[in-house]
Amino acid sequence: MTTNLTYRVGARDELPGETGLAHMLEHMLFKPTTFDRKRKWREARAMRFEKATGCILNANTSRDRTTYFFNFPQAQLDEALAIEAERMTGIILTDPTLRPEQGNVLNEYDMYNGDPYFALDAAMHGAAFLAHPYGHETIGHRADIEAYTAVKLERFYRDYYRPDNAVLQIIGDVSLSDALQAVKSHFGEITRPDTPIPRRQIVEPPQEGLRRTTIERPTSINLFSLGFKHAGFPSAEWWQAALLVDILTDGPESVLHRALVDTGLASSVSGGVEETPDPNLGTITITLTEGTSQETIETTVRQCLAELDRNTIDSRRKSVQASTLTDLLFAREGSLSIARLLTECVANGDWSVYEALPELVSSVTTADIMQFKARAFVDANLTIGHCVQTR
Amino acid sequence: MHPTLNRSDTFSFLTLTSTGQDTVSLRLSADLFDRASVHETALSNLLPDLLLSGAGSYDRTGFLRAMNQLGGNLQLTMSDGVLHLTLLVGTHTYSKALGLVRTMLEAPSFTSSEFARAIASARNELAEALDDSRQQAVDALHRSCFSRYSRQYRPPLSQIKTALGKVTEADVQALYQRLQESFWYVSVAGPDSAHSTTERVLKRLRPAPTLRPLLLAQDQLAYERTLTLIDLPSRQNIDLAIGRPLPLTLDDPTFPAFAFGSHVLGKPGGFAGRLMQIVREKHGLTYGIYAQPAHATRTTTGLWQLRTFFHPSQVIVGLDATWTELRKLYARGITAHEHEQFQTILATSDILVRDSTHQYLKELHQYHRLDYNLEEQATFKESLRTVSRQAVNDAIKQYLDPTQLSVAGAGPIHAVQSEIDVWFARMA
Repeated sequence: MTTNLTYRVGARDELPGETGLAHMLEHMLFKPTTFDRKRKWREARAMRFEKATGCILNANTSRDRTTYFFNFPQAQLDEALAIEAERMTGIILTDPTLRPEQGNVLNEYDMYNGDPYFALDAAMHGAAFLAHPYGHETIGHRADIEAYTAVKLERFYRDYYRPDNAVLQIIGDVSLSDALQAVKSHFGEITRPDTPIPRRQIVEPPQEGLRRTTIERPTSINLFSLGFKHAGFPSAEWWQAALLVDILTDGPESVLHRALVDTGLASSVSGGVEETPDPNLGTITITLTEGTSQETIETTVRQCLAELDRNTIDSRRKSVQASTLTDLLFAREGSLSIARLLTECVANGDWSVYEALPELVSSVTTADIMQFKARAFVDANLTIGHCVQTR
Repeated sequence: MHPTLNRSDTFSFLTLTSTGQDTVSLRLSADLFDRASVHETALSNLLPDLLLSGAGSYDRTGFLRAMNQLGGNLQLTMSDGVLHLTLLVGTHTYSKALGLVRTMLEAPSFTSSEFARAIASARNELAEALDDSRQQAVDALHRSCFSRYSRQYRPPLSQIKTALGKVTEADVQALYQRLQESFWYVSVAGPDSAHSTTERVLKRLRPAPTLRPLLLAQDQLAYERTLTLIDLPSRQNIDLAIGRPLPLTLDDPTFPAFAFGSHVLGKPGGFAGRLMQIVREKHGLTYGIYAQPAHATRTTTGLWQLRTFFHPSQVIVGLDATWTELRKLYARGITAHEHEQFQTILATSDILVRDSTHQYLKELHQYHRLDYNLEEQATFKESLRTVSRQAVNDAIKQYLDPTQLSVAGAGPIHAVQSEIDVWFARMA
């Protein structure tokens, strides 16, 4: 079975100068707690759980939430819940315990930032969002990571790691009454703080024209990226955006694969939209072949979008809807994969939309996608990015 | 959820039933290996793309559209000379999707225009792969560990690109013919109806062709430890693949003991392995460091490899920390506590894989396609869990001498190349 505890805190809650704090804190939740110290344990109960039982454990942070999960044989439910309850309140944050993990996070940052696709996407979001915190990546900026202190982390932890900011999932062969009883026995003593949860509602100002950004790298490839703003998950418009991106980029049948990869202008195309509650930037990224200019790709992409007609969208819509529905079927197969998808619904404020996802996908029509395309791909909604090789 | 396995003259068929299943996963593997050469590697890069490029009355677009509109996710890859096919689809459209797969396997079009397109695409993908530091390091380690006449050898990307220019349509037809003459391993998870449908199709696809003999022999490299460094200045970390040839087949009685010891050192995934506990958790030197034996079959040997990455400013400190753990393991072996702990960890992983029917099938197929029947799979897994501590430590002593390990690195090497050279010489 699987337990999954999601805190509704992520990169969006970080102030300038403290980007990446939510992710750094995620790493620190695998360190010993005050409870572990009382037991005179040198390592965290979560790590001991993994070694003692062979359970699967991990966590991840995104723009709006941080989530922790365990996958384990059924008999271990109490242990999993005990660990989550203890680390909700008992994490020890000191500069000596922070330092090694800070090194790991810097290493992780370098892993991402060394990838030109990631670096260009980060630049795109930075250009697209002047005010909204979606403008910075979840990993944060390197200088901010280097400047973390235990004091900053402690403040963030106390602000956001609390029972009224958390959603717990238990998925597996257990009765509702037994599960609730177990939750009560482990979490029942944890009280809700009197202070409000710090929330900042930052509205991105309207975009007044096309935005551009360029990064230069000594890579062996050149990249072109087209970003367009869209509504939050799981609104109808979000699904229109998701399906349109798939129509354009998903697989060899896709519009841009045929126009660019099959003709030798590009070696690959990809695209995606993120499941965030606030409006975000969907992106299409193209790897140019040697000798293809950025101008040629931009012109060709814009032409493809302009010429994308109802018949093509209709035919491709059926393909991408069928594929997405298959993905949703497979996402419900196994407790870990159920937890993954349910987490995104939780993070967007309404877990119950999980049941409605297939209907939301199926209800998107060709007319919807045509109308979305007309709205989304105007200059005042676009950000264009280039990664230019310097060697 | 209990698997069954039946074998005919031309295919082996494993099924896994789960009640109320509304999804089906199909996996097919066929060994097409003939001989190792750059030409064969280039050819292998093309076959998956070309099989998906039209069949029967469908052109490429028509075939892909037909599969996509059924919601079918069909993937083909080749690795170490083996073709792998995976189909994931809803139960309600499985029969039609399988029909398309049958058409693809029976009557691929292999048109000249698609051949030209596939060659160009493959060249472009190779250019893109130049920046993949992780893969470059792994491929370089393979070149250190395997003879160029061995199926696990990975030619440099530039050589593959040149060889693509010499591949002909007749070559592709010949490789496809090898597919028809190979023994197939097919595994399916889904309701009973999917199993019976699949078996019917397989019997029609595979009456009783003459099977080509499997090539069991393997050319051995006169191994010497080497250091290979590839400069990729666009990256920010140096990706490392460290290892050596492991002269054990899966059937060798020492393999389970060695695999157990490797697990204690660097269990892939999670934090339980020594390397993650020390190099990552204690020293904060890397986000990930894992190790495992790989690429062995029941009749051919593979290698042992450790994969990690360090920032250039910390690469020597990172390598030192890694080597400290390797030396400790080599000198003292695993402890009694670790022996007990990892027996539990391995037993639990067998339970957890069944959390998902399709993940379970994926694991079953990994053994199936290596020609394990169900009893042999169970015996092999049991042997991994029940080896004695003495056997583990003997295997470590025999095969994990740190002074014998090769190192391959790719990333921003330039500024630290001489330091790494000096370090490597010191480790001999």
